[in-house]
Amino acid sequence: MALIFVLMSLVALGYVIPRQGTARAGRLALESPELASLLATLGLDDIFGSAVFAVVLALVLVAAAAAMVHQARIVWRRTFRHAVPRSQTTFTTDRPPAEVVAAVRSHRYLFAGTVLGHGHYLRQPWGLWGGLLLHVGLVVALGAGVLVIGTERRAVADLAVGEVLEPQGMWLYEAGGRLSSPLVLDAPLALESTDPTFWPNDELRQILSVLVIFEDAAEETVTIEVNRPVRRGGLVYYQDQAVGHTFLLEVARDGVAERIRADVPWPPDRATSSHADVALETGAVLQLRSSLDDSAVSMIGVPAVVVRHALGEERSEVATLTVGVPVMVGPVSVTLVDTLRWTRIIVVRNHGIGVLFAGFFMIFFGSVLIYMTAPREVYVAGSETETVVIWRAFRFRESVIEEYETLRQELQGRER
Amino acid sequence: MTVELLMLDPRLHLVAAVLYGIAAALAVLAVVGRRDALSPWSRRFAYLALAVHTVAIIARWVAVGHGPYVSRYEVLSANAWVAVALFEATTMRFRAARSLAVFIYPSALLLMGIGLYTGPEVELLPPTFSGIWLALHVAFYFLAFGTALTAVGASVLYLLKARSPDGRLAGVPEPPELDALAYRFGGLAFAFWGIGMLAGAIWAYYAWGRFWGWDPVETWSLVTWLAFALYLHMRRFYAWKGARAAYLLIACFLLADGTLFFTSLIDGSLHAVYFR
Ligand code: HEM
Repeated sequence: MALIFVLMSLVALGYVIPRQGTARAGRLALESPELASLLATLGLDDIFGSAVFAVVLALVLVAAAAAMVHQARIVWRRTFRHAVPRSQTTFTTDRPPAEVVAAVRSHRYLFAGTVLGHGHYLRQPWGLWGGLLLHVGLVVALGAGVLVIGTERRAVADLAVGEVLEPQGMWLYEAGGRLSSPLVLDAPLALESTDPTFWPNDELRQILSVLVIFEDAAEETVTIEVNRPVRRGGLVYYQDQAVGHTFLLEVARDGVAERIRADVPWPPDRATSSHADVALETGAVLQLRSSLDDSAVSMIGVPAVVVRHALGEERSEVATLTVGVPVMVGPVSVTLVDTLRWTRIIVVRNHGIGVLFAGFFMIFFGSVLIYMTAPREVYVAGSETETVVIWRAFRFRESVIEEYETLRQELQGRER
Repeated sequence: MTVELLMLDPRLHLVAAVLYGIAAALAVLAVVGRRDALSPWSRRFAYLALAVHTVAIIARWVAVGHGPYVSRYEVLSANAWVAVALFEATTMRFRAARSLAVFIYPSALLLMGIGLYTGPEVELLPPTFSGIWLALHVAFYFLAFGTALTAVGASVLYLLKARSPDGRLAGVPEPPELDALAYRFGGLAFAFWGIGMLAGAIWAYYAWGRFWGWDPVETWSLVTWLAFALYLHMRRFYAWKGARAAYLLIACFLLADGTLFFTSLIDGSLHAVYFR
C-alpha cells in the first residue's frame, strides 16, 4: 500500500525533474546551473536509473509475491474446502432439500462438495481466481521488466545505399542494460535501397528499406518499414524515421586531398532546405545544403546541392555542385563524386519481452475476473421438517443481494 | 464520394450531439424530476443518437482512411461513442445502473461539443500510426475512459443521493448499490487502462524500437494507473467506502482526464506531434 504510493511519487518526481541527457535537462543547466548541479549531486537527475528506485521496485516485487501466496491459499480454500460460514444471510423453508437444490441450481450455482450434511454450491467460482491471477501477472511482469531492461541492447547505424555493415558494426550509438554485452550482428549486412514516401503536404508517410544479409555466401534480403520491424535470429531490425541524402566528396586543399562523406537529412518540405556540417582535417568546416527541386511533385526528386565553406569568421560564397565537376569554394576544391540515399536503422537484442506481455495480460484478465464477476456460495442442509439455506457473496454483496431475496421468495423462506 | 462523406461527417456528428442532448434532458427529467415514464424515451433517443453517431464515425473512417484516433475531434467522438455503447451494453443486464444515464448522456454531449468545437480537419497519418497494437492501444483507452466515466457517474450520484434523503433522485439506486457500482467500474477502468498502456508499449516497441520512454503521456498514464490501484486498495484494505471513496475516485478521474486530454499538449511528448 505505502509501497504503491512511494512508487507513484517516485515516478511523478522522476517526471518533474529533468532527466539526464534530455533537452529539458540541458535547458535547466543553462538557466540555473546551481539547481542542476544540486540535483545531480543528490542523484535526482536519473531517478529511474537510481538504486532507490530499484530497491522500491524490489520491495514491491517481494510484497506482491507474498500477496500471491496468501491469495493462492484463500482461493484454494474457498473453491475446494467446504466450511459453513457464519453468515447473517440465511433463511429456512418447508420445501424439501431436493427442491431447494433445484432452485439454487436454476440460479446457475454449481455443485462444489458436501460438508457436515451441507451441500455446497458456488456461482461464478472462477471469479475467485482473479486476484491471484492479477498478482501473479504483476510479479511476472515486474520480473520480466527487470530482465528486459537489464539485458536489452540497442545499436543505431546510419547506412548509405550500398554500404556494408560488419558484424562488429560501425555504430553511431550502441548501449544497453547493466547485464548486456555488446551487440554483434550474425553476419555482415548491406543497405540495398531505401525509399521514403510522402503525403501531399510533404510530411513523411513511410520509409521502406531493403537490407541484404550475407550469411555463409548466401544472400538473404530483409524488407523493413517504420513500425514493421523484422525479427531474424535473436535480433530485431527496425526502420527509423531518419532518411536523407549522402554526398560523397573529394576535397583538396594545398595539394592535400581528402575523401569525405556527408549525410544530409531529407528537407522538411519543398520550401526549406536541410543541411549538415562536416569538419575537414584542415580545420575548415563545410556546410552542405540540400533542397528539393520545385518540379518534384512527390518529394522524390534529384536534390540541388549547395556547398558553403566557413573558415573562422570568414565565409565563402555559396557554390552548387554537379557530379564530377570540381568547384573552388574559397581556398578548397570540392568535387562531388556521388549522391546516394542514407537511412537510419536500429538493431535490438533483448530477452523477456514475451514474458513481460504475458504478465500484463494476466493482470488484465485477473482484473476482469475480479470486477466482472461476483462469486458467491450457498450451503443447503435439510432436516425432517425444514431446509436451511445459507448465502454469502465474496464481494460486491450490494450488487447481488437481490438474487438472495429472489431465491428466498421463490422458496417462501423465513429469515432466521 | 470521399469528399461528400467528409462533408457529411460533421453534420451527422452535430445531429448525434443534438440527439444526445435530448436523451440527456429526458434522463434528467426522469431521474431528478421523477417523471419515470420519460426514462424509456431517454433511452430510445440515446439509441438513435448512437446509431447516427456510428454512421458518422464510419463515414469519416471511409473518407479519411483511418480509424477515429488521430485528431482530437476523432478521439473525443470515439470516446463518447464507446462510453455510451458500453453503458447501453452493460445496462441491458445490469438494470440497476440505468439511471446513470443522467451522467453518461450529458457527458457524451459535452465530448461531442468539444470535438465539434476543435474542428473536424483531417490529419495525415505519420508512418508510425498503423498496426493492431495501435488499434488495441486506443481502443482500451476508450474503454478505460468509458468505464471510468460510469464509475465517476455512480460516485457523483452517490454523493448527491446521500445528501438528499427527502426522496429526490428516487429513480436512482440506493447509495450502497451506487457505491458498489463505482467500485466495480473503477476496477474495470483500472484493468482497461493497464491493457491500454501495455498495448501502447508494444506499439511503441514496434514503431520506435523501445517500449517505454518516460515521455509525459506515458509517465502520467502510469501515475494515473497507480492512482486507480490506490483507490482499489484503499477500498479493499482500509475499508474506504461511501463519500470518501467517491471523492478519491473523482480525483482519479480528473487525473485521468488530465492525462488523456492535456498531457499530450506538453512539449516534447511524442504524442504532442500528432495531437496538437
Ligand atoms: C506491493 C505489493 C502488493 C501487495 C502486498 C498486494 C496485496 C493484495 C492483496 C492481499 C489483495 C486482496 C485480494 C483478494 O483478497 O482477493 C490485493 C488486491 C488487489 N491488488 Fe494488490 N498487492 C500489491 C500490489 C499491487 C499493485 C502494484 C497493483 C496494481 C497496480 C495491485 C492491484 C490490486 C487490485 C486491483 C486488487 C483488487 C482489489 C479489490 O478487491 O478490489 N496490487 N492486493
